[in-house]
Amino acid sequence: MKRRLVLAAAAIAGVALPRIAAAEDPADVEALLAQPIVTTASQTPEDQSTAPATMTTVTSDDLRRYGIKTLAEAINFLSLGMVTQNTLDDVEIGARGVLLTGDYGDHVLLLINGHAVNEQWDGTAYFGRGAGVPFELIDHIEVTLGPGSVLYGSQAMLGVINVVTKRAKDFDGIHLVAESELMTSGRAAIGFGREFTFLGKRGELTWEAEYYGQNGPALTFGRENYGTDSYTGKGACFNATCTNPGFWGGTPADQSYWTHLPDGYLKLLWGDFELDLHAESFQRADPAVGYVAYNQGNQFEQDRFLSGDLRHRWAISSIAQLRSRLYGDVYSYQEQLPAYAAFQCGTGQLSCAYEGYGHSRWVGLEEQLSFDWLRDQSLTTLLGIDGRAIRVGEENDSDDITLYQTSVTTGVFDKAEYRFAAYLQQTWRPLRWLSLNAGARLDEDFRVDDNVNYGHVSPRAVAAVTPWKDGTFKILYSEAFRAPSYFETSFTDNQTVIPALSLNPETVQSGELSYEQRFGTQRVFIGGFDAVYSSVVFEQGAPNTALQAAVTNGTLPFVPPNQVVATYGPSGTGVLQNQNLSSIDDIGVNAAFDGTLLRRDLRYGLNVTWAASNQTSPNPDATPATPAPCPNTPAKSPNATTCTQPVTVSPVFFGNARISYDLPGDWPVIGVATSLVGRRPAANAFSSGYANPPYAPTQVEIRGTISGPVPSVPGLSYRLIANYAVAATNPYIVGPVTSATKADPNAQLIPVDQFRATVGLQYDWR
Amino acid sequence: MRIAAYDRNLPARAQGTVKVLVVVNPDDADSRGLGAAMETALNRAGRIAGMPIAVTTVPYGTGDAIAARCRSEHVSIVYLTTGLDHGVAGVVASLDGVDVLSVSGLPRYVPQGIVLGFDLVSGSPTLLFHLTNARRQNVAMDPKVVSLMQVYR
Repeated sequence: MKRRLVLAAAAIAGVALPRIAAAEDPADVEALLAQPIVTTASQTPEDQSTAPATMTTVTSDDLRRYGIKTLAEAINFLSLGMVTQNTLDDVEIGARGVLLTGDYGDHVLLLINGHAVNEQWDGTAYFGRGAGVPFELIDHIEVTLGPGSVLYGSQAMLGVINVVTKRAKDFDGIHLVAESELMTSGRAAIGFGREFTFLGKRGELTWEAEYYGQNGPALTFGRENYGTDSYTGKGACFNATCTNPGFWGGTPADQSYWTHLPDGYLKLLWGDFELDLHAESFQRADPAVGYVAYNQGNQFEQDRFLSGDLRHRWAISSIAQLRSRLYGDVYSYQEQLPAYAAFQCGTGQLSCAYEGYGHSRWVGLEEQLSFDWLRDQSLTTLLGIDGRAIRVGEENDSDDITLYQTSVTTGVFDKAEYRFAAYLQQTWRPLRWLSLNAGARLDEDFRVDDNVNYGHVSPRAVAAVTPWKDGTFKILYSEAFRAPSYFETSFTDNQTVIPALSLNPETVQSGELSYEQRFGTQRVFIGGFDAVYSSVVFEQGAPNTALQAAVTNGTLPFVPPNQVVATYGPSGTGVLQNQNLSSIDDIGVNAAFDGTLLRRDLRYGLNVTWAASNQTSPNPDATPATPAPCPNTPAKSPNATTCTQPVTVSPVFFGNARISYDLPGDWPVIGVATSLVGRRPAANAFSSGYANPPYAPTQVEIRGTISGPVPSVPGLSYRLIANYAVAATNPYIVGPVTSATKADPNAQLIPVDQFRATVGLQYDWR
Repeated sequence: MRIAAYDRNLPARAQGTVKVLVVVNPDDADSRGLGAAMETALNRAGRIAGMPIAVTTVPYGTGDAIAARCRSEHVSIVYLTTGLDHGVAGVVASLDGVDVLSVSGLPRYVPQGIVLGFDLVSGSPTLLFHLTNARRQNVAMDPKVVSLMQVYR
């Protein structure tokens, strides 16, 4: 607790007080109190307007008044520059016009109280329900746009999201929560917060545990005519009884859309120590999986996270302090996906059940030394080192579906890695109107079993200038990287995909210029950005040398050397391999306006982003030696070996708006929030084989929330939420038919649950 | 700190110079650091309500000693840093009836009787105000500013 309180005191002394010192009248005080103080961008408390990044702070009050239930909703309805898309499995997340589909959140770093959640096997982090953070425990969420590797290392390419939980004084007592999205889900939670003194030192304990269960809605997927299974010569079976052979979908998916999610978070502070524990088990079924059976109740995926973080803060002197952090995580993934069509199974199997396993576990130690040289936060130095030992593993089984006995096992590995990082950040506020921040981080990853070493330096330099009252110009340059995940480097099914151990890290270079002006309690922000993403991982036909090596080392079944290319190359089975072959150019504008009126009873805000992002990747219709017109281009287009197309799933324009009003006394708070996501190409739109690449229509979601205390029942409060989505589909192609056929000329996109009402009750016993 | 400027009794109390007493725990590095930061911030600010500031940092002794110093040196504002949990109750009792604005950066000191404090709630600064002790210490804060504060009685 002491650490947090000293942090707050330092923030107030170093940041808030000078601002308040400039106040002239009560209106100025009100305006200054409305300015968030953030810590994520530089790991130091500072004013959001001068922090070395573009940031949004979403408060616990915002979460309640606008009916927010997940991080994804907080991002879509309340934040600037980030957007999520619902895949029905969880959500995918992107920022500033770049959303890399299928990445399992690997390009955005998720922190809970500064602890990185993204696991080490596939970089997985979930931003929907799967984040597994009880919402009543959240104090605020800091959404940081752009590269953040300078302090956080890998994964912080598109941005960093830091969930900060409440202190005991703000979560005092026992809290009981019951909430239901009517007809589909229920959530029950219990939480506790208390300050205490033990052995003469002050401490505090906060924790909350919850269970979320969901079943449905029974979304109906359109019937797709797949036709004949090439292995059996009969209509393909997409259910256990092979009803309607050859056809997928056409009935409500009433068995295959469910979630079981128990999770909990605990924070214990005592003296200069802090202990954070997080656990969750995220098991769910996704009705949109097209490569296995349709609407089967026995299909699921499950992610389990367990993490611990022990910190200590030592004030060496009035200018120096040492922060130590010992952390460890355990993660496991399991999938069980039944298939009744032979073409979906391993060689020789008429039906099967995929069972995939992935796991990672790691332990690390971080030491951070900071100096406040002039003891007024005007000249500070932050030095850090971070060492981590990692183990990851994977196994993929294609089982006999009736016995669940493994008959085909592929891609088994268990590997070790060591990571070391050192970083330095220097801040200097030489003048009242000038704030400078520069730093760099060196990351070295040693993948022992792969005999591979990745190294990367991530710099950042920022200048913030406040030329006049409440106006801030900011110019920023930053870089970030993402080490390739083990799933990308090591996955193989020994048939169609081979490992890519020599993958290099993806990198991004980003420049940004922004201006923020406050007028009392009103704030206007506009910023432009230009980012280049390089060495982006892209699955492409394996080079001949890689095919030869895969046959030699037994990854692919043996064929004579002179038949390898013919058997596994583009003219054969077309074996794929991840390669650093893609790049993205991303340029755009962020703008925001927010404020309060009527003594903060009326609150409102608006965030918009326009971004043009184009991805250049190898032409799937060409080889290096034989260029060809890019797919989905007009006739007589020039031959090319690479094609530049919009980044799929990523909207060019997106944003949100909100307004709320606090009625007097025990009357409720009324909040309305809306999010808009522009028309965007579906995942794999340009490689799916449709002459007209499928696009999802512009989506507008409107959410109304009424919340407040239940009259005459002290401690009891309620929340009523109604949500309506205008468009009926999201940008993901579903089903086994992935290219135009005579029967199905157009792609089917996943359906959206368009209307849902939620009722919630919370009892706070203090 | 210039929230003190909204104390209508400050000009009469200060008599031309706002004297600020920063109290630190010399055995606590955090306390010393915060005291130094406060002293620097105040010296940079230069003036409160148009009056010059004179800052003095002192180690904590007893509440009575602080109260005596406030009386004898016409201190306008006494600022308590961190690391003084053991002495807050004594300071509050001793300052009862003394014409001085007591301030702290630790939010938990305000419910114990320090008049003005600061907190971070949901990432935003919040002002805390102990109305009862404000009256006892002759602090008359602008009601418009008080309406922006979390008030304790």
